[in-house]
Amino acid sequence: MRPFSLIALFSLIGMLAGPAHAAPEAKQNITLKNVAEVEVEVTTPNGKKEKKREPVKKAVPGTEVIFTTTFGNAGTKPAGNIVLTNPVPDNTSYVAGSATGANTDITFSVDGGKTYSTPDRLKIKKDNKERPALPAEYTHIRWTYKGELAAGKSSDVSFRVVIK
Amino acid sequence: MNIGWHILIGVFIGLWASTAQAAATPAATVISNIATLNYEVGGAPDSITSLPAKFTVDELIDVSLTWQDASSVSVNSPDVDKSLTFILTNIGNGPESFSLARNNSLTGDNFDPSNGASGSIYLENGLQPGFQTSGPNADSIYIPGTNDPNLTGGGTQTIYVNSNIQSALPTGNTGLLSLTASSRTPGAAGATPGTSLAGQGVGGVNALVGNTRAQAVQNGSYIVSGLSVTVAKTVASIVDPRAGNNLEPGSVVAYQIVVTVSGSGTAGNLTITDPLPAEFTYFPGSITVGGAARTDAVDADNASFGSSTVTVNFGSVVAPATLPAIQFRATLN
Repeated sequence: MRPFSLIALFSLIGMLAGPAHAAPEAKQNITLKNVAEVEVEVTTPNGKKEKKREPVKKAVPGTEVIFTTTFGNAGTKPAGNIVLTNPVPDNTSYVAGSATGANTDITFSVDGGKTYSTPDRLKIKKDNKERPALPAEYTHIRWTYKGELAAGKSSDVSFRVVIK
Repeated sequence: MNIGWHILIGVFIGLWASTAQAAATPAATVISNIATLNYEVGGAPDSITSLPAKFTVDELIDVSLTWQDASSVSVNSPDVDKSLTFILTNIGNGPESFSLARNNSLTGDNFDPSNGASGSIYLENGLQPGFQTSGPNADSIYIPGTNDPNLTGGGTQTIYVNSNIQSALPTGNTGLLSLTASSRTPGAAGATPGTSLAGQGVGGVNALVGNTRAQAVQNGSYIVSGLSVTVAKTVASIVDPRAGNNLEPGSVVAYQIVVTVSGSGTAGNLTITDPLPAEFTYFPGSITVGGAARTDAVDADNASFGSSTVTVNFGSVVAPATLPAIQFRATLN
């Protein structure tokens, strides 16, 4: 796969894109919503170019896709011990350093979600040799929310992948 | 426990490595992501999963051609059915059919190759590596519109562009040709990167023209480099027993051998052997090379005489070259 011209690609995806929002799930007044988007470069009326996110419905290999997961507490009691887990989807590679989430500790797995650690501690073992894991080898991402999520509050986390 | 974990890791990496080598994600693949949230409310642990965020992979049309010969292919002038080898790769992510065309009339060279006598473009049929024009494993002649290579994403096809070379070309002359492979998806070949072709992808997804504009052009070249060795043997002088120049029993004949290597390239281990006819007796110690005396023994110098044969070894000779003249004498019995 060759890297694709981002501008051309984004403008195209912009034309193609339909809604990719999944409706929020709710349980005990806790909601969870997952969205896939791409960044599109748009030109504003005054000729300025800026990046805008649009839901992705279709994309070609090489496209960078942003997954954003929003969790909310619609109940009356605070929610604690919040841990959010997202697999890096099949046929995509995690983009190094792209996982974000306010007030969270972020760890990654390279063994299909069995164990999690910070990037500096992730190792790949093969033929009795150990080497640091590459971001493209991450299989899962885990966000551990610090403290409690108060009633009526929501927060979100995000990461990026490139379609292989 | 620990051992089991190691094995699982090994299996996982193996899978990853194999997918990393593979081609782009196939067109029409659905990529889906489901998030899981674990939490506690009022001390009661629970979890929920999100609905999947998903999208479909569109088809990307991209193609590459590489010329496989390490350098210009050596040919003689004239020559027949000399091939250049190319590899066509579908670097897109869906099945794609490509048409092929050659162009003999490129500039920047000394001559134009012409289409080969037995066929102009061949497709490797996989029966026997390398180019065969005939025999049980003969490769397939390419017929546009009939057997256009149809490749899956990441698939490759070896192609032979087969040429004849005209006569009377000087050594060192080069001839260029190009091969073009074009996607047969309507509207794809030559289109601006990013052009979307609605419904033209596999399974009805859209096809997107990639950076290669769904077309690849690759040059290849020939070089005239016929290396030939010519040996000219002459009689340099005859001295008869009466100090005349007649050829009669007892006459001593001086022979001269001049070796010329023409064309280009290197002739390795170039050895000249000259068996004497039975009616001649070698004149001992008479070999000279470039006027310098040589011993008859097989030793450090490059000439010897044994078994009624004069042998001179010139080693590796880079063409073109005219080698130092060999002389020796023999007496007519």
